Amino acid sequence: MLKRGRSASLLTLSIAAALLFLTPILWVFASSLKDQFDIFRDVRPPSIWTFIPRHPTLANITDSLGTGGPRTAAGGGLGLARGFLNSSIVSISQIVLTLLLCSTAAYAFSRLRFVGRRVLFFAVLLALMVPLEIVLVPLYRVTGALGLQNNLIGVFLPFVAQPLGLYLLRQAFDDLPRELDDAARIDGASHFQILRHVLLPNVTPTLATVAIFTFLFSWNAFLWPLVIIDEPQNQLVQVVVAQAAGAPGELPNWGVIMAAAGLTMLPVLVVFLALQRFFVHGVALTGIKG
Amino acid sequence: MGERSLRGSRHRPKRRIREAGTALAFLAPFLALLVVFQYVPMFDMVVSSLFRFNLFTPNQRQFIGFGNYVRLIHDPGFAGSVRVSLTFLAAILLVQLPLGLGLAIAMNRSKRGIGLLRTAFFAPVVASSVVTAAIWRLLLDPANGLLNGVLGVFGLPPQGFITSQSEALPSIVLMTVWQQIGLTMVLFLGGLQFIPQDIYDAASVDGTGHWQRFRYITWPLLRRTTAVVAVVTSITALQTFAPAFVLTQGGPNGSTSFLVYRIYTQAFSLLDPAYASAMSVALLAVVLFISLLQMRVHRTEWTY
Repeated sequence: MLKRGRSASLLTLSIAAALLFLTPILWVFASSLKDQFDIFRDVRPPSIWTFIPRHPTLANITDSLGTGGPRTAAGGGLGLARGFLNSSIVSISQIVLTLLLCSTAAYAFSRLRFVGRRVLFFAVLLALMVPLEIVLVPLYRVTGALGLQNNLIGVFLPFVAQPLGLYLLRQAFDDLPRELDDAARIDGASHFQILRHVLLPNVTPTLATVAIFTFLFSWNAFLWPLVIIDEPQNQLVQVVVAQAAGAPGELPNWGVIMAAAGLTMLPVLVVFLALQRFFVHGVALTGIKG
Repeated sequence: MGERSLRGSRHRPKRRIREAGTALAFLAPFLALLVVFQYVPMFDMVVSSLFRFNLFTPNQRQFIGFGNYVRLIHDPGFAGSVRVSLTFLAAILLVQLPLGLGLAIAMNRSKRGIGLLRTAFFAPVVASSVVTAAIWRLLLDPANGLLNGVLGVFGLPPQGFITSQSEALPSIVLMTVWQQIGLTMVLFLGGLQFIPQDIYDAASVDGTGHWQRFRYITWPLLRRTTAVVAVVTSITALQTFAPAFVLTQGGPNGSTSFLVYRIYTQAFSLLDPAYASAMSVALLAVVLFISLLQMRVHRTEWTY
């Protein structure tokens, strides 16, 4: 154990480090409420005003959300509101379908006996090892062949059969005593009823963890929406931000990029702060046990 | 996994068939999507890598055997991307693991307010790679960025950062460590909590110092966690794409042309998916090699 004085100084050091660490995020939120002149002036030299808007303005936020005018250095809308709507549709569909498919499949692996159970489960886990980045090109070909290019369904459907979600739910089901199902079965419940009314209510922390991770994955997805969606009106938030911030050879409109980055980060930040215990639960499950 | 109850052997055949039918119904949607969107693409990737065709005219394809792989070996651009990705991987491991472990040890206390600190260090993990890159593009801007502003306070000359060939990759390393160190910290915290407190208490009685406690207790008992963290970090590092897209377009002079960025441009800008597939197969080989290492580590049991 640390001695008192040392412990206190270590704590002070940690607080200073944490503040320094959060500087970029604080700068973004403050700058998104400033005009370009103030953003530039307030960084040289940095002062307390770097992180406080002197003349707060909502212009950057309305410019990034709206679609008025072309996206130029002088201003004009990014159409982020449209991106928010598209990303919300994709995220919600992806969460609902992932939970549905993963829990029924996990039930089969945990509670039912059938030929090839071990081989199939291994085939599912094998898919866990291949990240999207590797199958990007052929996945684009397959999704295109199914006619799902430029379609929001094509954004989420390839990822709803989520091996990690299945794995975590199966672990959770395996940890529940079989006596629970037996009691329900004697009462004449079907397998689907047992899943729905007996097992699922007992694994809500795992369901929440899977839902949150799916949300994070879906909302933050970038490479896949970038290749599968062409039309601007179907585009998702991350691509809108990336194209605004990464346009080569174009003088960026700083305030609008800051506002877009801040707004895009806000939902995941809120979900994270509100449901933190599930994050730690999930990271521990995936990182240490998995 | 795989525990078997005794009841299974006494099932009557009829009931067993009915159970298999239910299993099929429960599994079919998941497995169908897994096959269509995971296994078919994997198969297509290997087959495509043996052909030559344009992205938009896939029917006019020509079988060239291992031609794409021969091209891969002689392609200085691909070799450059391999070098960039592996240098990046090594740098991330060397910086993020020690810092993340140090942070975890500092945060592994039950004091008031410590949860708030952990939250602060974890927050960037939930930000997307795009948002992170967008923020850092402005932070690192040579003319108006905050970082050069801070350097100015200390009388240091402004740096080129992402616009400089020698500083671009280190800048992306810095950004990535900022974003991901919270995850490393949480993973190590998970490992630290499995080390029983009595071992430290016993060591305290013997009068060991901080360094000795770390060297002879924490580090050996954390070996498994360290291996897992190293694998997770490596695979994440190999998937890097957004920084190249948002910050550098692979430049200056190819210094940040990560493998995934090269695969993306080869397929979608140069419209050459066959060659991009050969690159993907090469990347898959590296990822599977790392995953196999992890399995080996997992098989080694450490008891304490």
